[in-house]
Parts: sequence; C-alpha cells; structure tokens
Amino acid sequence: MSNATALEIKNLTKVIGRKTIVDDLSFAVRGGEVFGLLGPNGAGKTTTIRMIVGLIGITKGSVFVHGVDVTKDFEAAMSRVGAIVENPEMYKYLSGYQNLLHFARMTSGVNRARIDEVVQLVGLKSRIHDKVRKYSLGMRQRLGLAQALLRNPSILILDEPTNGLDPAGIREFRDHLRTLAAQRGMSVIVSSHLLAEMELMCDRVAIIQDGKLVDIRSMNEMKGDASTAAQTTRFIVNDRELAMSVFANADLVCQTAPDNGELDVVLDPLAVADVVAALVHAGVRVSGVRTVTKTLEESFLEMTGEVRHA
Amino acid sequence: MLRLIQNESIKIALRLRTWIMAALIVVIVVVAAVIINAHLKPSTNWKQTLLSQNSQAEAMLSQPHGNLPATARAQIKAQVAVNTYDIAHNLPPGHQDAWIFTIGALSVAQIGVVFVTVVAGDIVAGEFASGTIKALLTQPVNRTRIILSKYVSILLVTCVMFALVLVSSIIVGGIFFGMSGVGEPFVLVNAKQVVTQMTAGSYILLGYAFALISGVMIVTIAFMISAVFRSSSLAIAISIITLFVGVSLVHVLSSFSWDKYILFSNTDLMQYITGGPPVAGMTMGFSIAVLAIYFIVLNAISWRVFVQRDVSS
Repeated sequence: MSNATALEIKNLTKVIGRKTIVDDLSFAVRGGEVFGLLGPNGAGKTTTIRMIVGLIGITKGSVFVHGVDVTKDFEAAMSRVGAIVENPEMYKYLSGYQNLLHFARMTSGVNRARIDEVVQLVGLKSRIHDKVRKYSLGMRQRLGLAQALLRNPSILILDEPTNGLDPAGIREFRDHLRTLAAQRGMSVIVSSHLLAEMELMCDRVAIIQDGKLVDIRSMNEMKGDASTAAQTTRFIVNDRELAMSVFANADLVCQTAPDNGELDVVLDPLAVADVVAALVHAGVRVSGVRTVTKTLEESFLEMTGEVRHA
Repeated sequence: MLRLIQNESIKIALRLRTWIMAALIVVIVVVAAVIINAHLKPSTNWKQTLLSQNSQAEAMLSQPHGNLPATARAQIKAQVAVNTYDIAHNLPPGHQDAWIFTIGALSVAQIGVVFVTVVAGDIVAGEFASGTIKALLTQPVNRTRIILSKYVSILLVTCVMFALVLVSSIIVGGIFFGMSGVGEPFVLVNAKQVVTQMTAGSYILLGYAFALISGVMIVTIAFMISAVFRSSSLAIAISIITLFVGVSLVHVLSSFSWDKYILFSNTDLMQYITGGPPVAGMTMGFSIAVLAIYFIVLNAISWRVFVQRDVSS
C-alpha cells in the first residue's frame, strides 16, 4: 500500500506568453516517501507545485492524485492533499484556532477533536488562541503545517517550506516531515533550492533546470553507494612524490585535491588495504585515509553542468 | 456551501473596521435626528401661510392649460393636496415623525453603500494582498463555490446594512419625534403626472427595497473590480466614483438615444413611482431588464476571471 504511486505527473507543461516555464515534466511519487524538487531559482519548481495544487492552470499534461485527475475532479483530488505554498499566510486578524476552524469548514469530516489533535502535533497548544498577528514566523510555519494536515492528507506538498526559518526552525520542520512520512505513510513533496537541506530531508530528488527534468536520483545514489562502486579515497601522506609513484606502479589515477593538495585516488573500497600496504612498504608514512563522499551539491553541479554543455 | 458563506461572513464580522462602519451609521442617524430636532420650530400662523399658498396655487391652475407644463401642474396639485391634508390634521409643515425621518435616512443608506463597497472591494483583493488566497484555493473546494460564497456574503452585508439604517432610524426617529403617523399619506406625483398617495409605511418599504437594488448594483461593481484587478483601493475608488458621477452622467448624456441603456438611468426604480423616468418611454419593466443584464454580465466577469486566474505571485 505505502509503495503505491501517490502522485503522478505526466508531460506537465506550462507556457506563459511565449515562454515555456515547465517543459514536459513527468515523475511519480510513491506512498510514504519524501520527494524533493531541486533546482536553481527560476527552474520551474514553484510553477510545477502550483500546477499540482491547482493554483495555476496546466497548459499541457496532467496531474493524478491517487489516480484522480486534478483538472477533472479538483475537489476529490485535493481532499487527499495538504499544501503550503511559499510562506504560510494565515488570516492575521483571526486567532490560530479560528484560522484552523475556517479551513476545517472547507473540508468535510474535520471536527474539533481533529483540530486539537493537529494543534498538539505541531506544538502550538499554548498559543493557539492568540491572534496570528502576534505569531513568530516559526509559529506561522507550524500553523500552516497544521492547516495542511487538518484533513489528514496522504500527500503533503510544500513549496520552499523553510524560507525565512532560523536553523532551529528548519531542523524542527525537517523532523516533523520525516516523522509524518515514516509513521503515517504520508508522501511529502518538497521544493527547495537549498541543496544541503534537501540532502537531509528527502528520499528521492528530482533535479529540474530550465523547466526540464534533468534526473531523478535517490539520495543514496547521489551520494555514491558506499558498498560496491569505486569511490574517491583521500590519502594524507608525508611524501607525496613517492606516494604518487606507488599509485602509478599500481595503475591508479591520482589527482591532487584542489583545496589542500591531498591525494585523491578512485579505487574499489576492497583495494584500500592493499594500497596502504604498498605505500607503507615503499616507505611512505600514511597518516590518514578516508573516503570522500560526494555531496549533493557536487552531484548537482555535475549534472546541471552537463545539461549546460549539451 | 453554507459553511463557506459562514466562513466569509465570519471573516467580515471579526474585523474591527466592520464594527466601526456599523457604529458610524448609527452615529450619523442620531446626529441627523439631533440636528433636525434643533430646527423644528413651526411658526404660529403656519395655517394662514398654507391657506394663502393654496389659493395662489388654485389661481395658477385655473389659467389656460397651454401656459403651464403638465409636470409643473402636477407638482402644484400635489403641494395643494399636502397642504390641505396638513391643515385638516393639524400638522405644521416640516413636522417630523419616526416614519418621515426613516425616509430621510435613505441618504444615510447611501453612505452605508459606500461602506459596503469598502468590504466588497476587499473581499477578493484582500486575499491576494495578504497571500491567504493560496491557502484558500488549495482546499478541496472549487473556485466557483469560493467566489459564490464571497458574493453571497457581500449581499448579506448589504442587506444587513440597509436593515441597520431602517431599524436604527425608526428607533431613533421614534425617540426624538414619536411613532405616530405610520398610516399618514405620502402625496406624490406618479410617472403619469397624476397626483396619488400611499401610506408612509408602504412608501418606506418601497423606498428601502429600491435603494437596496441600486446598492446591490454598486456593490457588484466593486466586487467585480476587486476580482478582476485584485486591488481593493481601485475597486473602492471606482465604485464610489460611479456612485456619485453615475447619475450626473445620465443627465450629461441625455441627448443620446442610448442614454437609457446606461446602468445609472435605471438604478433608481423609485423614479417610476414619483416623478417619472429621465428618458421618456422608459418603463419599470425595461429598467428591471437592464439591471438584470448588468447584474449577470458583471457577475459573469467576476466569476470567469476568478476561476481562470493563475495565482502566481
């Protein structure tokens, strides 16, 4: 059940004037996964999300929420979706609770018990009867999340959710999302231009550039799989010249790291011990060996860079 | 749908400005009563004055028909009828009671229409300005139902405003001038230039009903501009301008044959009860049809634009 497709996007295209903002985008989000839309500003992430939730019209293509076409039956589709688009603006002249009551009236089956439950979940209980005017940005974010969760959606859609939050707020938000996905089997779709954040939040990431899908990667893939594939291994040694000749003898390609001149070698993890033995045998003092994990940022730049050259 | 209307009404009712405007309406009614009360001092020989007015009028009416236009004849006849009634019932001219005061309070309702315009101009545009439109439109409710619920709540506000003017002026008028006179006749010249009369009570009901209709048209313009241009200040400004310029526009353009199709030639249905229409040949049925067409077109524009709009800011 939780692995079934929750949200499917087929050939989604948005043309405004003569500009193609989103170009033939297709992907599917599984139940219970945190799915990221990653791309630089202006790549079309927000436009994609706004098409999914019906805020802007679809030029071509379709969006299916549990098989329901959003343009054909908006109300049925949206009853399974909770959304926060950009900053969660609520009615400032109402209290947090009045805001939630307002949105509860727009969905069938949300009673006061459910409101209380959601308020508890996002940790706003002590301030829920204060006017939203008096809320901090973090509290507004939590109220926005409560609004999105009211109808117990199976898909949660968040556009740039951590914009303007402080680091503690971001961390708290991230924890919320992971809990919701893991414990409730909720699919979460998040857009962001912040790589580090996506790295921590998502199971899979779709990389978007110029409105086109560049690639979809699971986070493990992107960082490099630790067990099998060849990895960049960094050696910290006293005599770099000597070490390089040892690598050359073993037919290994060695690069000097750009930042500090350490030696980076791409090799099978199982061969690391042998290489170290050879170095020591040749009289090189090895003071450190570690695998260099590719950050999402590096993978990302690699991928989007390729697109630019193509 | 009822819960959506409830939502929109709550959002209007929980704003301070709504209560300030309601309080202002009541204050204006009270102030008007105080001012009128201060100027109520009939002269002692008012009966003599009325009698001599009447005999002058009779003299004018006895002249050959060609010398006096029919409109003027009707006006004079109406004045004579009023004077005769006042003398017979011992009512000095300019006398007040709750019912006369309530009819006068229709001009307070005009101010009330301006207030409702502020609410109508903000009800869609305000959601865009505050960004709450995004949360509102990502609920499992389609846009047609949302715009409809907003429009219905604006109509409710308009009705409540007229009810407030009506009830507060009856109460305030009753306190200041007494409640007697609800059956007192209102003498008026009808559209066929014939002097007729109706009771104060029915005149009030008719006057308020027709004022409500013209108020709804103004408010609908504000609502349409709010939905189309997403700017509350523009919506408020344009609808107030049309409210005040509209009627004079009708006079300026009266030489054109299409003048009668202008909205403001038709908003005041009271013109078919007293006086007659600005353009000869217009009937109440014609005006109601024109109003209905404007009503449908304005709302169709609001609906179409709101449902199609890309929310992307």
